Amino acid sequence: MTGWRGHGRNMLIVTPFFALFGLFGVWPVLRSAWLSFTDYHATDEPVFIGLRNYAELFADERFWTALANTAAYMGAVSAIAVVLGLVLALNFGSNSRLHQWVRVAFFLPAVAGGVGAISAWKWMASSEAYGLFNSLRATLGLEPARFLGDPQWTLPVLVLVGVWSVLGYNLVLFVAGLRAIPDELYQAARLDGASRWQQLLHITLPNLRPTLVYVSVAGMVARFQVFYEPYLLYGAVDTLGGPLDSALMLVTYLFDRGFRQLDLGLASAAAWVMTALLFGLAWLNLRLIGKEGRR
Amino acid sequence: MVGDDKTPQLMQPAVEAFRARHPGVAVEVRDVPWADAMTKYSAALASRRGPDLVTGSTSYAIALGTKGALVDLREAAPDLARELERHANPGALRAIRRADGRIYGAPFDMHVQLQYYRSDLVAAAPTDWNGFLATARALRARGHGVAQQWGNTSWLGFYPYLRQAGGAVYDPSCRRAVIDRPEAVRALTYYARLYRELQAPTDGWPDADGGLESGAYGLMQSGTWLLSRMDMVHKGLVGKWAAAPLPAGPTGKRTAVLGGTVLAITRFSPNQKLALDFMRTVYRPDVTRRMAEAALAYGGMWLPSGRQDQIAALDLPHRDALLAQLADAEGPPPCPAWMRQDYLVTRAVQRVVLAGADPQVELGRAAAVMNRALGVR
Repeated sequence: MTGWRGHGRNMLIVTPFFALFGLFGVWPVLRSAWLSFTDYHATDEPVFIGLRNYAELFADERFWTALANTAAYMGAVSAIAVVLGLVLALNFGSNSRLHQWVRVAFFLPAVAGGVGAISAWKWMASSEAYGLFNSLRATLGLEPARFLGDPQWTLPVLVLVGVWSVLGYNLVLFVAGLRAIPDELYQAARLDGASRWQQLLHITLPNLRPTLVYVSVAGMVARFQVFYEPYLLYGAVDTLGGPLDSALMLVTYLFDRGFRQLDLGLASAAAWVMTALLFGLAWLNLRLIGKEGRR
Repeated sequence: MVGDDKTPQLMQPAVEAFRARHPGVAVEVRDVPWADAMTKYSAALASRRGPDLVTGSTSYAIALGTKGALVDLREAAPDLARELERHANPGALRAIRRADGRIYGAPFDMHVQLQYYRSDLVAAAPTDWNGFLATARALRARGHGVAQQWGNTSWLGFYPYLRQAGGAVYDPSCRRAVIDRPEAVRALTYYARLYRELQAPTDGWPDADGGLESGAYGLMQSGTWLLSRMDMVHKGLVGKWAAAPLPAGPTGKRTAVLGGTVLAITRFSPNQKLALDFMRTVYRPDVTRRMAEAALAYGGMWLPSGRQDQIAALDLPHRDALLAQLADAEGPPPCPAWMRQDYLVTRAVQRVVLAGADPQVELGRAAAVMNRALGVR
């Protein structure tokens, strides 16, 4: 029988990890849960106010704007990046030199992104006639568009930047998933006269399901927490949400309430609502895609 | 201190003067980027540790002060408060003085909006609203646009027009929003023309100075930081640009928004006495002047809002325009509710500018929401 005593040395070895995890992982989470029920501004001790932060949050129309923007952004980027990533993986997944270079090209944004890349996007999408996109429009005889100054362009611009930054990552994961599918399955299918489309539907996609689940769930979770792209592209010294709050995302909203207005109790409530939504989304995803895979 | 890696250079004269009086005291100046300041300060406040002195935007100082995070100078250092009353920029001081008279910090530096124009395209800067429209139309006819950079399509860009028209966001007691008054409607109607008629760009921060160099814009509005940087950054503009105060509105005022920072002592500082003495050192005329000169030496622009009397002695480009505008400049509304409500004014402005909504309706909506939150019946 193995008990705590039998694992004493092992437990001792993992104790530092659990101590640090508890201190920097679990404790802040529990603390923020408590703060979400308090009136707290960092300057004085938190005062318990029950569910008032949640009530204020749900009554704030900016919160709903941020939620709608975040959902639209997450849905669009996740769907496009998964479909395009898969299409690219199916077409550029071999070991040929050309395919390797294509994969490197698509993966570059994942390693070379960040503030510098967003600044470059800001320059390209600038509303001035000499912005890159507007220069291209001019060659087609089109009037300059206000890519960063017109709410109808906000989501397309953010989705473009979001897909660009994540596509290479999805591509690499899909290529790895495709290579894990035994070649014998395709050989057998070809012997049975299956077309390429039938092979895709009945061999590739079912076998790729674990990768699809991971890419979808992880991608949605990451997109749901989007912050610096809209913040850098649309934020200014006096406003965070861009034109008509069209770039206001949940994390931007949380940042505004927590660190600009010092409503840390309300910001904690917003964080917990986000957490609940993320759990719900992940659960739904696993139910929809994962359940199919277990059949 | 909010700033960049040059900030310690700016503070060096104050540090040296302070250490001459307190040889045993070590002073460490740390710069915090604007984007990180609020999170770092909040973390410091939550832990009851951190810097003895901080700088931050005017609105943020009011918000922090209201939450009890900063020392009230009127109470802690009446001598310094009186000194500031005499020498600080009146607009900067009004912006941080609360309705009850408390002052949670001292004006530290400031920037105001100015008109910048291509002197080879425009003979003289427009001096009033109508003149601005006429000049902008003439420029557009020749292929040059107009732009607003600092505060574009937000409350900050609209605020000068509001004040020039005689309007206000709140009444003097800060208890009622008055943004729906006819003066404000008139201001917003005019402001919207810059975009709807003159087609000014609506990006959050358009490349207006770059556009001035390329000729895309012949006239634009931005902050005073460009005065010392323009020739350095835009070589093609050397000798081809000038600056002027904003055009006057119907009241004859040329009010610009006064931005900048406030120097304040954190309530949890264990060294409040020393920190107060450091502040007294910063506001000594000789120290202030040396700080401003240190900034100019590295191509920066530090305009001491706490000792405005020293600015006239500085060798600044377009100094007359700058001094004229500083004399008619105001900070954001010094009301505790403002940081929670500024987005409502921005939204009204953007609905009018971007969606063509009616100024009266939008400002009425904003005022109604603001007053509901303020408890006005």
